[in-house]
Amino acid sequence: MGIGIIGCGVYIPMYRLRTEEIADVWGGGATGGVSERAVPGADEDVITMATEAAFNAFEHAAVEPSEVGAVFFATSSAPYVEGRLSSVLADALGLKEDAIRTELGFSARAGVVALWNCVNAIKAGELDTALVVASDSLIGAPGTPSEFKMGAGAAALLVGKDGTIADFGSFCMFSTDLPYRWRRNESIYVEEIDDPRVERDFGYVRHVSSAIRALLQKSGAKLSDYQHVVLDQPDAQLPRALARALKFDGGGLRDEQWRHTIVASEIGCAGVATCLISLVKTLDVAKPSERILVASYGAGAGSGAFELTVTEQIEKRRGRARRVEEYLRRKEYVGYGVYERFLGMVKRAEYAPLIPSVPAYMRNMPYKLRLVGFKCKSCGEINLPRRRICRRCEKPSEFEEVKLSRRGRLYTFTIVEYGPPGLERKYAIGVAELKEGVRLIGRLTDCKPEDAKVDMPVELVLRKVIERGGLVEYGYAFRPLRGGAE
Amino acid sequence: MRRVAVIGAGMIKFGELFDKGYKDMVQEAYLKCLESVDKGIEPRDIEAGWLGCYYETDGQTTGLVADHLGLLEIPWTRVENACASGGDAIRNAFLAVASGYYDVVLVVGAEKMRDVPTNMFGWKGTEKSRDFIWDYPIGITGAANFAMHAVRHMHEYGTTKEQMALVAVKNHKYGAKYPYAHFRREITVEDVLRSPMVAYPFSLLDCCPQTDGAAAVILAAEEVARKFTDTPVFIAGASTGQDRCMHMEKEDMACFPSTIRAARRAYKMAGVENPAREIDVAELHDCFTATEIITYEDLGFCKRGEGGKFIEEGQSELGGLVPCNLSGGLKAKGHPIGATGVAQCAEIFWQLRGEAHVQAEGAEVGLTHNIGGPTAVSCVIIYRI
Repeated sequence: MGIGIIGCGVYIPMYRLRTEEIADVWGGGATGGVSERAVPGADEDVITMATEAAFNAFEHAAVEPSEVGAVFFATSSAPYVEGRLSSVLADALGLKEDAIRTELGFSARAGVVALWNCVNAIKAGELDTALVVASDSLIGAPGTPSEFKMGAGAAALLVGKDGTIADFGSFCMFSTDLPYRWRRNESIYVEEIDDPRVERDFGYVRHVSSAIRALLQKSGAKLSDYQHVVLDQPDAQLPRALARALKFDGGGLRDEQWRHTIVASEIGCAGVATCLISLVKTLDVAKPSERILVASYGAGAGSGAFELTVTEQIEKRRGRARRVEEYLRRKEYVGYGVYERFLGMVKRAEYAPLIPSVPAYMRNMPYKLRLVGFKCKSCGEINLPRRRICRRCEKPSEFEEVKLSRRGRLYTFTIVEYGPPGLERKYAIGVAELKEGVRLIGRLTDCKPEDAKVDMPVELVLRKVIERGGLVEYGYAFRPLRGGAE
Repeated sequence: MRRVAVIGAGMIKFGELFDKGYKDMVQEAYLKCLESVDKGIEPRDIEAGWLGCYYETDGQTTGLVADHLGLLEIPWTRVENACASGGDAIRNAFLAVASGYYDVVLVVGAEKMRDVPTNMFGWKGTEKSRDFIWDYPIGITGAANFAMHAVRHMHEYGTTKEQMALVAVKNHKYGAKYPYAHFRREITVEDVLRSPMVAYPFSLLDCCPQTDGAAAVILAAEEVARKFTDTPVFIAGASTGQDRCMHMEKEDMACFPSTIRAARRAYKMAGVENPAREIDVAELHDCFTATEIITYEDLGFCKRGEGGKFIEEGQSELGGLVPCNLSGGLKAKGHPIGATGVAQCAEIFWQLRGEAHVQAEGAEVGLTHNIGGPTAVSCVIIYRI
């Protein structure tokens, strides 16, 4: 029995900035083939994006998060350089506390490196099922070539041995030190040397083609054996240069092998997530027994390539989770100023008071993120938050934890026009009633505050709620369930 | 239990009192209250003090009040019960006299609201009354708190923004004639509807202002009351009521269960069976216009869902079924939190003695109402001449 992907999902923020707007602001610039970049909302970061991608993967695989033995989280834009990353995701998903948590970063190649670690840990018998999630939110240095190319998104792959939809073959890597794109610790901006031909020929083309060449040698295959070739996209033009340059298989790559996998032209470079989003997009259409080649690239770090063979199972899983196309279609355009605000390039010059209490956080947040209620064993009422004396029968009681559904309807709402310092200036708050009858309070997200209506169907998505004293607090926001990605 | 009466009341002009501190305000209100006692009163007649206060002030609050009023020889108690702090301070003082322990007590209510910049007020209010894990970080401002009830009331009963505006228009009309009011000007429905939105459905003129103020009243046992005045006003019933603290746990947001609970007990104590007929004049907690509309229903002035009609028909105007907020209410008079309930008591004291600025003729039974925090606490007090 092979090791393969048993479920996959992505997340792409709904906001888009047209790169021509960047050119307008700076008086020109080459877009690198990226016509629009995805922009995370003000309440999003790589953790919230990874969480939604992972939820989609679990839905696709029909596997319980408690069955997962490890999570491999790859990002090059973590909100904390030291501190939490996979912990928030794990609490929100309800992963076991003793599941192995591995965090990788430092280059756009880290998503594939995470996958390699995961597959080998399963091969070694250390794990049965694991989650690999890659998420990035990148900002190019303002007014420089990199600003046109960066984007955001997340992909999640559940890897295991039972019910695989695509089985892994070989992995190969090729690395040298060719630095042309980087992000320093103290900066939020990805910078690059403005020398496009060096970047193309000695960076991207050389490293990726070398990794692919090694992979073909290892697996004894020819380029033409792959129906789908997923090439990483530091921008949306480099893959074409590579396709032309791949001469070692006779005629190079045919357009129909790689063109349909490209996403960077619509969302920009999502760092560690780009080629995995492209892979999931490919799996959305791939047919049994087709072969897929994936080659990642991280500037300065090199390339990692691997191959997959699609199984019969893939047809049975279709339609279970949101497809990449739905996320690509679901979009709302923002201008340059809103893009700056959403990504924290400009901030409201006021901050929230009150440093939060870490003990209070510890007592409450895990179950808040896990989204569970506490069912009274005497009267059946689901209490939320947790109580010792049941809110309905008013007796001291025993409670059992029950999972709450992530869909509901707005019971009531309001729109705060003058948010206090540290929050967005304007936002909608609502109380949503979930299927179980339990209600929850939260902000509305991915909509205009004015879209709020009583009885409107909503889904719960993990988002940033507030940052105070350096601590980001996460919680659930309500996203209208209509049109777009349902 | 003994009967307890209000024998004197005083308040200062409410407003943005940038030139007055907490100590200045409480001294002024106290002196006015002493002067108001018909046959005179001496500080040494006062046996205990209660203070209604919500926020922190410039020191240990009860201590500084006792100190600056020159009342160091008596025990002092601070009552903090959100926006019902003033009303609940009166209720607690009332119980101490009714029990027979004290004969004469002082209740002071005061709040300094404008030492805080307006942009920080959202946090100042919420840090006192929101669950820290679920509610506080979201930014549920005071207006948002009540707005979510208003939206539910609109949804269930078709209550309109125009009906809400009528509450503001009415209260400004009376506030214009009230010498202590923060805003002394009349407004129109169009003014309200055209004012900028604060928290849907509330526009700026649906909201009470951020106001500094202080008020004081003296309570006395029936046995000694006539030594001080020939027209004492008796407290006939008083209760607070509670509801769940978090909006996500409130079962019914188209009403205020805290008010319903408080009223049920206060009415029973006062022997009020048909409030719409028996209450002659009321001071309601119109922190936002819709709050007053929902409160008509909660207090039984009209049926549930008919609060909008009640204001539209002028039933809460002078000459209507139950004239409400002839002082201008929180909307025009202002809402210095701890002072609000005490100032309401002062107004009903004047109404039942026939001394009010906008007088409900022949009023014999009065009511005051506060609701506060995340609408979790309410205080209802019934007065009779």
